[in-house]
Amino acid sequence: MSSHLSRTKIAHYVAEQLRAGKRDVVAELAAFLVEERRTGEADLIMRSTLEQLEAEGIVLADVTSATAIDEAIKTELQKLTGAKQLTLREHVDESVLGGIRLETPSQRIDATFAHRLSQLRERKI
Amino acid sequence: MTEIAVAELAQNLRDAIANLETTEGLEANGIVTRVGDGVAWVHGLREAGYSEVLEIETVDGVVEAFALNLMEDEIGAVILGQDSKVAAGNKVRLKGVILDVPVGEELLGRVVNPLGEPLDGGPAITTKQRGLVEREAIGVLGRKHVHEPMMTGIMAIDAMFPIGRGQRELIIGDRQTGKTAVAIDTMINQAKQKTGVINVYVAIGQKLSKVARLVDRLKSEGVMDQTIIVATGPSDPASLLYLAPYAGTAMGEYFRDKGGHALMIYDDLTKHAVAYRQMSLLLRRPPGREAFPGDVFYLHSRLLERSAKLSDELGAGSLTALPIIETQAGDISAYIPTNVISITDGQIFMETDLFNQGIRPAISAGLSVSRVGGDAQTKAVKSVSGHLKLGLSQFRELASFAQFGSDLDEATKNQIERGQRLTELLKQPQYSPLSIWEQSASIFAVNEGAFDRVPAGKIKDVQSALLTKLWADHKKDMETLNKGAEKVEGDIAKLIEKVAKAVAKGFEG
Repeated sequence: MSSHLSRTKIAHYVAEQLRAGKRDVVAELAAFLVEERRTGEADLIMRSTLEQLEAEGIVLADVTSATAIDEAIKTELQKLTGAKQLTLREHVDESVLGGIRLETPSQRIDATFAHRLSQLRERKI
Repeated sequence: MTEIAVAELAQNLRDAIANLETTEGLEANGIVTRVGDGVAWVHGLREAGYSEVLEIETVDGVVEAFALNLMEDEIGAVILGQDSKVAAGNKVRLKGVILDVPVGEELLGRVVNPLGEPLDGGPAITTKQRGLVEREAIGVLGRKHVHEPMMTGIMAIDAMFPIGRGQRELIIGDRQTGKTAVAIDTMINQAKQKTGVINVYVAIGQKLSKVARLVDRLKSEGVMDQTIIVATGPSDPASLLYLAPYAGTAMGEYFRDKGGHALMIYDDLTKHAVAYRQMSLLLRRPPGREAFPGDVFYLHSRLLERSAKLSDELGAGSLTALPIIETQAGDISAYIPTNVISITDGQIFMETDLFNQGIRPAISAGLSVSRVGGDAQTKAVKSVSGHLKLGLSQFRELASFAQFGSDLDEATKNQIERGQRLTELLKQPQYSPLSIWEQSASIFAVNEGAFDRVPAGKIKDVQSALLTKLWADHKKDMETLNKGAEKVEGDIAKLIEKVAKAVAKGFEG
């Protein structure tokens, strides 16, 4: 009986390989998932891998704001996340009204005006 | 340092704390991967603790859940409330607290759900304090032996299987044998005797019509003012049924920790175990005997261990528990009944046969026991009930010989006749608990043979006449007896015997 390898362990291995610069680990992972009939878990394994990399200081984060952010804010965000290497995916969304929302694989901070307003509304109710 | 500087320092500290509390930081973020049957599976949130509350952000607002399965890849969380709102992909965050409920005097007279939300249509409940639903039981040094009586007002129990404050006494029996009736009578007795004991009735998966009837009855008896009802119906999610007894206990503990006395009634723990089995199976935990999970013993032991008599240093409060278990065809050796029997300090076993014979409350003298209540029995009742249990058990054994009538020797005949009278005496209608003096005087009169010439069928009538006469003519003596501190002997014994014999004359036949 083959033992079921946990997503955490797979993610750990993938992250290790990526850090070592072995890009072909992706093809290896794909082959493994097809073989094990676990392709449905691909998204969760990618998420776990990003979480693993985040724990090691390599962070891929989504940042949402009403207007484009400048370098000063990026430096602040680097400090906030404590990342050694921060890659930002920037999204401009006017509906957030102002402020900023940062989402890393395992953490989140929502300091947008829209969020604050909805919080106020909830408390009032 | 001057006084002013100290005051400033304290203010600065408070400001700094307030600032920190309002500052938002990075918060752990998870995602719902699967949901169904009241269970959500969450990816992420590695920092989550056992039993910690999770907030799931749905389209219709936040739905709470609590983490029960912490696994390598995901968390199994049980949703509190409707799972239909939760969808895969919903964001989840940690609330940072384990589940708590409002506790305090404000809950008295209210019907609430296990989250402390009102179900009685009354105003929202705002309490000053909250109590942890899961809390560790008090340790050895914080306890004292059980020594104060928790009178149920039911003569058969108070005389033969006395319950003390802080005791856990199981009420066990088949369906329709009067288990809940015993519990309700005990609650009513707390109001009638003005003991000041707070009742917490936890309905676990009970029909809501039954709960509504109970509330009406408690209101009409004037007991509701010192009662909290935690109600869950059969249509509630298993998570709420599972939480109900723990939430109720948290509400009772508030009074215990304040130095007061509270009585917990869990009606019933069989349904609680079934709800937990449902949750466990849905959480993919391995099934064991009767498909219950391996920790079903711990489920009840950690609950009942919270009932205790506290030491004087901790205020000498108490939490008494009357858990109820329903058996199938009188089988007390099934899994859950044996578990709870071994956890509790005794059990009151209700028998279907006795119930059908009209012996109500249908308490089995042979199978019932109270392991710690002896010290808690009032002196008055103790002095008259010494051989009651043995006599009654022997009678039930001999009763089968009664049909041989004239072939029996005199001693056996006497024992059977006395047994019949005692059995009649211990019959008691529902909602009419008896006080200490009523119990002591009645048992004493039968024991002393004052009613030996009264036919067994008229025992209840003669008892009622005796009690009316004693209260009318000797109220002061009876009030003294009612304190329970003195044995039934000397003058008071002579008085009761004299009145009993006089009263009995009118019923002899």
